[in-house]
Order: sequence, then structure tokens, then C-alpha cells
Amino acid sequence: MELNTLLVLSLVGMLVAIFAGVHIALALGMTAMIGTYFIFEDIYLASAQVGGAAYELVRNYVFATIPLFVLMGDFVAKCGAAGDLYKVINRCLGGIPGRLAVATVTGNAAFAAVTGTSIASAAAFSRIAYPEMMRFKYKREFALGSIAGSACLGMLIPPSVLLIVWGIITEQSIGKLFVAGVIPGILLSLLYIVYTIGAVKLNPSLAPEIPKDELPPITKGEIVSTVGVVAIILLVMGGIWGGAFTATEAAGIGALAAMVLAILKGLRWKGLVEAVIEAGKTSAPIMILLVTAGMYARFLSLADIDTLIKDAVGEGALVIVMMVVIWIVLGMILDSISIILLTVPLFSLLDVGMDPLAFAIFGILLIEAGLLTPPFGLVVYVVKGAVPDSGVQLAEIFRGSIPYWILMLVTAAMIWAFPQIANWLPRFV
Amino acid sequence: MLRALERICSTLNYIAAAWLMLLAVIIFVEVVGRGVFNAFLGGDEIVTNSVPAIVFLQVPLAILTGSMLRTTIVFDHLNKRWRHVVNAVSYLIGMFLMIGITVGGWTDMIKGWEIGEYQGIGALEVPVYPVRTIIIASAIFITLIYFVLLMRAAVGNDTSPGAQGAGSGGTEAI
Repeated sequence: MELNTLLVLSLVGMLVAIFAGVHIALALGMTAMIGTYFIFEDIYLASAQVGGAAYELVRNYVFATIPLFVLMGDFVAKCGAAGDLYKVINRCLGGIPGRLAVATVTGNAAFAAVTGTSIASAAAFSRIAYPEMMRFKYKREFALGSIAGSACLGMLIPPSVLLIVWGIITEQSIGKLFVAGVIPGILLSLLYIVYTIGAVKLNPSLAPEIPKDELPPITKGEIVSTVGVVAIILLVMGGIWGGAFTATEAAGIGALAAMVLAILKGLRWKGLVEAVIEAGKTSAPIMILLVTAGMYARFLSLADIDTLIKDAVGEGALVIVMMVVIWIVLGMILDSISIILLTVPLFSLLDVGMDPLAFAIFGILLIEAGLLTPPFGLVVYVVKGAVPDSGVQLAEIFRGSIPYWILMLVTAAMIWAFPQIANWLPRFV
Repeated sequence: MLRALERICSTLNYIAAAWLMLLAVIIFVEVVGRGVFNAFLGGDEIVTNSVPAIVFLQVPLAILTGSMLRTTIVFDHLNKRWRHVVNAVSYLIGMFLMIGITVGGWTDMIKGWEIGEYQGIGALEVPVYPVRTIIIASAIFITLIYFVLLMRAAVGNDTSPGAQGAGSGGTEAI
């Protein structure tokens, strides 16, 4: 079969399977195996491709970062540190308008610095911040939007599993990518805060003012959590920044430090084991996806995809527009890691005329916006599942999240216009 | 049968969990050794070679608990019968892929045992044939899991978590 025909057929077949509901990792792996068979017309060679890949593709020091950073986040989430952090920040914010929602954004930004996924943040803050906001008669849609929207900071602020996956695929330094995510993460958090305060100023009924005496005093446990989380952030990011650790070492040491914090917070054997098992359940599907996506990438290079893509697509601004559209559309139906694995190996072949670090942050922001949009806004579903209120409708969370994904697109546009937002800080690493 | 498989998968997951914690400790010892005693212990070879083994020990439970990533945008609108069909196709693909991994990796595994294949130079040499063996053993075990799930889907009795789309159980990563 002619190579280009094979490529197009395999791509179409794979997408049909994925959209029908076939497990994404399996669709990728099977496409690689069948495609390789058609290139060599030898079933053993096709098996050897996937058999060899299963061993070689994740046999890499860098890949250990994913389970270890997930584990770090699970220890911190499991011991209740997120709730403590929220209360301390809430206390520090004083009489700011929409204080509980601003504390949700700020708490999420801080929590994002110790967790690698959006899901952990979305679940934690749904249980912690939502009841508080309801107690003080915040408008439900506004409260839910702030929880779902700010959970997305988990993917931008390092350590982030998405940044790790992006770095692995494009063979960039994960440490530099982490540092590149810092300023855009802070910028997006600030935009969220400005929006929250501005919305409450314009429409005070969204978040009625809370009397100051309603604030409970800070407890010793809350101080332990806050100091612990700050220490882990400094250890992990400081270590990478200062060149003391590689990203993998930071992940290993961060996981141990988070375990110490969890023990200090009273988590015992059973809870610790649960956290490790949970981390395994989260990271295994990501890792197997990486294995089969690697098989697929090998097939693509065997089939000489570079030439096909470069011939088919031009370069410059039009390419960026095409990518943006594909990412936003896929973001509505697929999870972020699958989107990165499906598109970035192809997109990175194109000349987009953008610095690679800035391009990574730009892409992640666009893909992440899909986590908040219908029909498959994953974070929205997590919030719906985690809030202790069965009356909450999905549509309410989707509506409340609209300003947040718009601000994500705004941040992406700012990085496109001013790539220095992302690539200035990594110069000092 | 499903319950017995679940018990084995859980045990494998516990082993993987302990292994992962051990990696964190090895990394810590490595960093301290380097920083304080200026000693290189070669722990990164252990970490590198452990990753595929840990993944393949964890994957069976991820499959059985419906944690494998998929999009349910079309799936959620299918009736029960068509959902079984899509699931059956998924399981069949899974079986073929795992058989492919087993067949394709078998020779290297046997060769690894024969020559005592290892990785690493100097500080620490890590035998890698156990890792190859774990991958092949896990691929065979996953083939069996997919076969059992396929049989259940064929008779319309696929009750595994996630088999009926969003909200039917299982977890979603990220």
C-alpha cells in the first residue's frame, strides 16, 4: 500500500475507534501494529515493534517523574493540607470582595504547586470551598465556576503532568518547562482574581460581604500544613531552579517530603497505603498511554509522516490558527494528555515560528480550556461528582466556568503576542 | 473468575506501590550521597529500569477498574447492546495488542535470561531480564483479563466498572 494512503487510512480508522469509545491507549497501539504490518508485510516485525516498544519506551529516568509527582500530590491531598491552606489564605485576605472565591483561586494556585493534575484540586476544593461559599450565600453558579476554573491552574503551575508529557514528546528539558509555567501560572491566577473581585464589585449579590468576626482563628494544624506546603514548593522548585536536582530527583524527594507532611498531619499506615494505591490508579493509565503513543509515533516515523505533513501544511500564522482550532475542538471531547499525545508529535514537525517553551505553554492553555467546555469538560464532571450537594446541575458549572476558560484563551493570546511571558524566566535556570 | 482476577491485580498493584516508594527512597539516598559524600551510587539505573516494570504491574488493575482513558461522547448515547459491542471491540483490540507485545518481546526476554543482560556501566549494573519478564508475564495476564471481559461482553454481562460509560464507575486520569 502506498505510504500516504496507509497513513491517512490508519489515522481515520484510529479516530473513528477513539470517538466510538475504544480505549485510547489500545487504539494507538493497535494502529501502530497494523500500520507497521502494512509497511513490512510481516506480522512478526509488527509484533516486534510493539513488543520492543513496551520495554524501551518508558525505560527512561524522566518517566519516573509522573508516578512520583502524582504520589506527592496524593499525599498532600489525602492529609487535608488543601483545606488548611484554604482556611489560612481566607483568613489572610481580610475584607476583599468575594473573599471566599478569591481564596479558592489563591488556594488552588498554591495547591497546584504541589500537585501535578487538575483533578486532585477540583475534587479537594469542591469539598472544602463549596460548603463555605454556600454558607455565606454566594451565588451557586459563581461559586462552582471559581472551583472548576481555578482547578485548571494545576496543569499550568509546575509540577504538572502535562508539562512532563510535553517535555518527553518534544525532547525538551522538563526543568525548563516547569520554570516556563511559573509566570503564565501566576498571570492566569491574577487574571482570575481580578475577574472575581471585578464581578463582585459590579454585582455584589454574587458574593455577599462576610462579617469579619465570622472568621475562625488559625489552628496549629493549619500552620503545619501551610508551612509544609510552602516548604515542599521551595524544595521542589528551588531544587530544580538552583540545579541541585533533576526533575526526577525533585519528584522523588518531593514525594518523600509530602509523606513526612502527611504523617505530621496525622495520616497513618492505612491512609498512606491508600494514597500510594490511588497514585498508582491515576498514573498507570497515563503511563500505558505514553507506551502506546510511543508505538504510534514510531509507526508515524516509519511511514515518513514528516514529508507528508510538511507537504500538506504550509507555515506561519495559518498553521497556528489550524492548531488552535484542532486543540479547542479536541479539548471538548478528549482528555488533555491524549490530545497532547495525538497532536504534538505531528504539530512539532511544523514551523510555527514560536519559541518551543512558549509554544508548550500556549498549547497547554488551549488544550486545558477544553476541560471546562461542554460536552466533555472533565474538570466540570469532577466538580459535579465531588460537591456535597446533589442539586448542582452540570449546566450551572459549565456556565460559571465560562469566564475562566475565556481568561485561559486570553493568557494564551498574550503568550503568542509576548512569548517572553513564558521563556524569559527559564533563561536563568 | 472476575473476583479472582481482581485479587491478583490488587496484589500486583501493592507490589508496584511498594516499588515506587522504594524508588523515592533510592532517589533520596542518591541525592544525599552525591551532595554530602560526593558519592555516585548509580541509583538512576535502578529507577530507569523500574519504570516499565511498575507500569506493567499497575496496568491490570487500571483495566479491571475501568480507569483506562476513553471518550464517552458517542458511547453515552448508545444503547446497552451497542455499548457491549464497543467494549467487546476494545477488549479484542487489547487482546491482540498484548499478544503482539508477548510475541514481539519473547525472543529478547529469552536472550536476556541466556546472556544475563544488564544495564549500567561502572557504579551499578542492573539486570534487566527480570523487567522484560515482568512485561511479558503482565502482557499474558492482561490478555487473559481481556479474554474474560470479552466473554462477559459477548453474553451481555459486562459489569466491570466503566463498562457502561460516564458515571458507571471507574476513574478518569487528569
